[in-house]
Amino acid sequence: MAKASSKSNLTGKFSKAASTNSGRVHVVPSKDGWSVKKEGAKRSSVVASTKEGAIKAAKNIKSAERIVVHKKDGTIQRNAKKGEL
Amino acid sequence: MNANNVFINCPFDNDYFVLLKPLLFSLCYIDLNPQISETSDSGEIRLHKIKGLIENSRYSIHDLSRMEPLRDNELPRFNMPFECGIDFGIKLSNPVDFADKRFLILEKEPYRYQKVISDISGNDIKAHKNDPELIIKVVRDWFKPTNLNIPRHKEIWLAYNEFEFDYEEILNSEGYDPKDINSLTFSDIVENMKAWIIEYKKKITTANNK
Repeated sequence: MAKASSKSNLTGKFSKAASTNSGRVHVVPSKDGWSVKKEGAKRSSVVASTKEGAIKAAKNIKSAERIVVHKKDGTIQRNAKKGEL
Repeated sequence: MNANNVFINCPFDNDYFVLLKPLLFSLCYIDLNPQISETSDSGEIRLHKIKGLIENSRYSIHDLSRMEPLRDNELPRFNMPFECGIDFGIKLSNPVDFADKRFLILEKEPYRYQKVISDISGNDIKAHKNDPELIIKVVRDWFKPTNLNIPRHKEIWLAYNEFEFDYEEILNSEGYDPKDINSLTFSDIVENMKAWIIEYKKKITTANNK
C-alpha cells in the first residue's frame, strides 16, 4: 500500500491551503438546512432550507468565484465556477 | 497519563473513514491529541502498544458501531469490544492511578448495545447514526464540560468541510486516493489536520476582527 513519504512537504501544502484566501464558497449540508459559507469565514452567510436555495444564495455572493457543493459526509459533490452552476 | 491524549478504538477501513476523519478533526480542533495504534505487529507486541497508548491517554473513545457486519457475507468485528475491555480492565485494576480516566463509547443506534454488551451500561454511550456531522457534535458535546472555550459543533463541522476540500485536492495532486484510508498514515493525517487548523484559526480570527 502506498504511503505518502514526503510528509513535511504535504504538511506545508495543508498549511498553505488553510491560510490562502480563495474565492470559494462552500455549500454544506447541516442539521438546520444547507449552509453557505465563504472560505475563511467563521460562520455561514446564509442557511437555506434546500440545496438549490443554498446554491442560488452562493451564486449571489459577489466575491464568489467557485462554488463547492458538499455531500452529506463532507466529501465533494461538485466544484465549479460560479457561472457553471 | 497525558491529559490531552485521547485513545481511539475504532474500525480502520474505508467504510469507517468518513466517520474517522471528522472524529480526528474535531479532537484536533479542540486541541486534543488523538492516539491510534496503526501497527501491524504480531499480536503480543500490538497488545503492548495498545496498553501503552491507553495508559498514556486520559480519555478514550471506543466506537462499537461495527458489532454487526456491514454486509450479509461479512462477520462482525470483535477488536473494538476487546480493546474496550482492556481499557476498562486497566482502569478497574488501577483505580488510584487511573481515577481521572474517562471513556466515551460510540454506537450507531441508541440502546442497541444493551442487547449485546450490557456490561457497559451506566457509562457515557452516545449514538452517531453513521452521520459525520453527528459524530462531531457528540464528541464536542462530551468534551465541552472539560473546556468552556470549546466552540459550537457547527463551527467545527463547517471547518471540517473546508478541510475536506483541501484534503481531496492535495491528495489528488500527490497521486493518492483521498477516499483510501491507507493513503496516509494516521500520524500524517493528524499532523496535516493540526497544521491546517492552526492556519485556519488564524484566518477566521483575522476575518472576524475586520
